[in-house]
Amino acid sequence: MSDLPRRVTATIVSTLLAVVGCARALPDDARADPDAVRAIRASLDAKPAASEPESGSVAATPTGFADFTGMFRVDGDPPAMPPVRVEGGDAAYCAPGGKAPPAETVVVGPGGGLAHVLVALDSKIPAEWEHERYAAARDALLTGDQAFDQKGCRFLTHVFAMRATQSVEVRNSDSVSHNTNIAAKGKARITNDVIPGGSKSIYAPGGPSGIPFDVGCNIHPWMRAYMFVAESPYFSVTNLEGQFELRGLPAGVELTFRVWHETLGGKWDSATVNGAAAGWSRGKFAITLQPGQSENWEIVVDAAAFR
Amino acid sequence: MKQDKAGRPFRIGPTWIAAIACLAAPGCGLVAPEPRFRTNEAYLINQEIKQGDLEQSDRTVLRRNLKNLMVAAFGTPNEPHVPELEGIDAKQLFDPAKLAIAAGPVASDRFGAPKGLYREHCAHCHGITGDGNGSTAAFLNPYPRDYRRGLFKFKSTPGAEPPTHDDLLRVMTNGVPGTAMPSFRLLNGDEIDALIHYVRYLAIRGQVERALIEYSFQGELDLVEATRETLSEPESAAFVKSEIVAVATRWRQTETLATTVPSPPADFESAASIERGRSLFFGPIASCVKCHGETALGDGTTTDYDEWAKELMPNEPDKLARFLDRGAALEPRTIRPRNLRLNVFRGGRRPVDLYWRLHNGILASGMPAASMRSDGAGDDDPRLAPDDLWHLVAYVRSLPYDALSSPRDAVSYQRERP
Ligand code: HEC
Ligand code: HEC
Repeated sequence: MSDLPRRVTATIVSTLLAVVGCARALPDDARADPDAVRAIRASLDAKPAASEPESGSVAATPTGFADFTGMFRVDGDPPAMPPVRVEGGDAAYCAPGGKAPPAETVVVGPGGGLAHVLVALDSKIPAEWEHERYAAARDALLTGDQAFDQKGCRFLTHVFAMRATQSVEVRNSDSVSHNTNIAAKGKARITNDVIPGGSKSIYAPGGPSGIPFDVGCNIHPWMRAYMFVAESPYFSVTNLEGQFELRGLPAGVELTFRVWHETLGGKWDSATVNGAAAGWSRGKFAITLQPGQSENWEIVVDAAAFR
Repeated sequence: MKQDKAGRPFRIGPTWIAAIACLAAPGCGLVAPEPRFRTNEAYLINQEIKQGDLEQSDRTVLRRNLKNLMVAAFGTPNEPHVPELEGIDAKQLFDPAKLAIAAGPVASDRFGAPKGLYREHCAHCHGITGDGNGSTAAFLNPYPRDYRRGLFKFKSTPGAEPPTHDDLLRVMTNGVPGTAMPSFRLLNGDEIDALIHYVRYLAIRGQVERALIEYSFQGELDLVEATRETLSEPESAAFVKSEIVAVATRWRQTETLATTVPSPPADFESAASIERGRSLFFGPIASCVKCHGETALGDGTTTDYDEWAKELMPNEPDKLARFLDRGAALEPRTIRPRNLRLNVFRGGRRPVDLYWRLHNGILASGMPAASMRSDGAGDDDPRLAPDDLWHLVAYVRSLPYDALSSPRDAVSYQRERP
């Protein structure tokens, strides 16, 4: 005999719970199309074919190398950066004399250069296409100038990019403790370690992140940086002059690039490239460079885009 | 008290309260269509904000394609499905026979064994989809776990590695003391096992959905451009499957990743051990005091959010509004470092539980992993040795019995501070 009364009441309860009006309805929650589901499932459940071509790989072979450089400039007055909200037990250390460092969501250099823009190769390319200049640092541990450091309760590199095969020293040059919360995406590893003042730890992402992700400190919640873990060696973050440089790119093949900025994300509607509308789709564009070519762009962004 | 046949007390439990609350909710008709997994609307909004807004028509197409893909890969709440995964012993993760017991409407099979366990015991808090947004969720603090990120707190593994089977079993058996998460020790072993498989299924399903959303915005499998035909092609099937395999592999590998716990020192929990733990707690290496505060009442850093709330961009009101206006998420709350004087340990009070908590941190809550010495390093390495961690455990376990833990003393202690 089953415990019938209990089952019956439970059934009634669950039926009531299942009533659709109970959950807050989300307007866009589409219904599945049974035919589409059947077709897709058949394909998912099929045994994979013997050798699949690498999806998204480029078909042609490169004919040499080329450089792609440029600068991002802001047209108009960028928004003023308010100081970050420093509070808690370390306030006296982190904001000496009550002076908190400014937010870094939009950083524009004296000459109008837009800093902290990530420009990265988006196409997946075979390892043989990489220029030999990148071979030595492929598995490097990034230390010294290249380390990821924090001082004055701010991250010294606001947008930090590295290769998935590399590892990086995470330093704390403050005398107070930080905890470096690396909220990685994609195949990159998530970590959150206490790093006492004057100490360091090592971050080995182990895989590419696909997109930039947040790095923070939970002891000092105002601290914010971004990391990007790249599959290829072709990435660059603009400096205070707004400059980026990608050297030794494979030429003669179409390459897709991605451009990202903390505030703009992939929204570059107002951007112009050498005077013409950029027309990037969610921050992406494709170009083919010729061997030996030095492509140089001036990218102008309307300051209004940041409001 | 009345008891049912199995000897379980029969009383008005959370399921009943949820049902009554649900009936009282406006717009509740009595026609019950088959429940559906909800699309991860919050992550779609997050990615639009981060990667660029879509046209309204593109939004609709993306959602329709995502829905079709997800149902094809993982089925529905009544009929869960898992594609054949080459090279993975999927039975260990989500055994179809076990999913069948946990999924579906509440019922019993012809031998009287219960079915629909998840909907009976979990869904009103964790939601049909495992999004932590069941009908009672908004009234609970902390909110029930949203499984869809694959992030769990009370586990033996480091970093973001998933919980082991034993970790989930422990949470199910003990519940999470001090929260609404009850103990399910009255269910039998098979029932608990089925529920663990189902939680893993919902988590992996949710992780794959998030990955597909990211890939769509990155253009790797653009669900705005896709059609039913392109999604049925072997290339896109292989892509989706490789993502499922990647997520599932981490759940399989995690079984070997539990942090090994060395035996405690001989003087563990002696007066000297507690005193050593106390000085470490307030010291600069362990840094516990920064968050848990001078009194360990949890009043250090109090303005932080956990990883679930951060995704809603709670510090940017106009962005946050986009999530809340759509009902895509529960109102974010700041996370408080725990008051350590309450004698309530959510992840368990055994020394080993606390050792894991301190060694690995509490994932997604902001509580970091302790700064440990590298293997083989001597006393010249200023970071914590395993024995130091044990003394911290001793101190933490002693705190509830400390004089200050009587509320009146704690208040006067705070008042006396400059
Ligand atoms: C009354 C509400 C409620 C019910 C019923 C409930 N839970 Fe929970 N559950 C919670 C809450 C709240 C948390 C979060 C605790 C926290 O964050 O500290 C949680 C957390 C969890 C976790 C995460 C633990 C971790 O390590 O992060 C799992 C797994 C879980 N629940 C499984 C279940 C399962 C399976 C069921 C049904 C058998 C269930 N819960 C029923 C409220 C509930
Ligand atoms: C960056 C802030 C931070 C630091 C540093 C920190 N904690 Fe925590 N701690 C938290 C938060 C937040 C929680 C609550 C987590 C939750 O509720 O999910 C917590 C929870 C706890 C718990 C409760 C565990 C349970 O099972 O309920 C203990 C014990 C604890 N911390 C001890 C420590 C000790 C000891 C240290 C130093 C080695 C430390 N914490 C350092 C933020 C911190």
